[in-house]
Amino acid sequence: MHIPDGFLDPKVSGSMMGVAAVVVAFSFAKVKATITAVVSQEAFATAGKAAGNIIGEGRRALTKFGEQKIYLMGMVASLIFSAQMFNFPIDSGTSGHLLGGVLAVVLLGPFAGTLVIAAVLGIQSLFFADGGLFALGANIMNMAFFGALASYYIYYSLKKILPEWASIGIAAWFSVVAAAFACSLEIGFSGAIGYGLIISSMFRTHAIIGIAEALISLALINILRKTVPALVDDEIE
Amino acid sequence: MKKIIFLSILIVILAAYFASSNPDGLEKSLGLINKDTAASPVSPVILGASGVLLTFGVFFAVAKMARKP
Repeated sequence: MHIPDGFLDPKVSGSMMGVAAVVVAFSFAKVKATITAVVSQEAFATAGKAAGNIIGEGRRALTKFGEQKIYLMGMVASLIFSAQMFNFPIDSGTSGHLLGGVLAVVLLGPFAGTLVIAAVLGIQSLFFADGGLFALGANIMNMAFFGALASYYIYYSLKKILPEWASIGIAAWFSVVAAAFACSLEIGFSGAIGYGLIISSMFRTHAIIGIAEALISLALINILRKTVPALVDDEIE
Repeated sequence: MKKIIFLSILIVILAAYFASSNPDGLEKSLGLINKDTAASPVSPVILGASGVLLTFGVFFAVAKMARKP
């Protein structure tokens, strides 16, 4: 699913980079609003030297909850990074790995989860040559936007009518198939390969990967919620 | 939190045996990549563990920087 450099037309990669920047900036703003609080000048003056976590007078300051949330984001990000190394064979010459979008948004909330996936993709692209640098925008759109943020709303809507485990499973399967479909369209639009061939091939492969994604996401969410009780934030921020 | 980092590194060690040179459904079967990716001279365990620590380190650094007055 990580598109390497050279697969996308510059127009496609450029426009995807722009849209991805908006998605990341919006998610960052939403997360910042939940992990910081406005501190008045009076409170700042009273707190004095003890106000080590206050950014400025009458400005937003990181709360204790916010600090814990960033650590939790780092923890989930490192877990997803390691889980994405686990490739399972699908067909000759093809394998799949966990995407982790639904895992992140269910555990951390939609915008924090989206930022986590975007950060993992950025680190993979910058330091490990997993996914092209010029294709980073497209990869963020595919896996962080469709694979995480959009899938969260599928999960959230389904949770109202289905048990949570079923909502997670369906959203996880959808996240992989939607990301693969978006990836196919981008490559098809770039002219690297025909739409028909890439969409059918990617759907066939990722429909199977999606089943594994659902099972692994369910297992990891259960384990992590029992291990780290703070990871129960599944509300829309 | 340490437990999860250790779990991540444990997954990396296990995953190293399953790390494929043909990942993601974008390769041979589509004819987009005609040869296997050259094997990295660095062990997948080392790469994975450094990736896990780097990923957590980025968020840790962000938290520490955000706390500074």
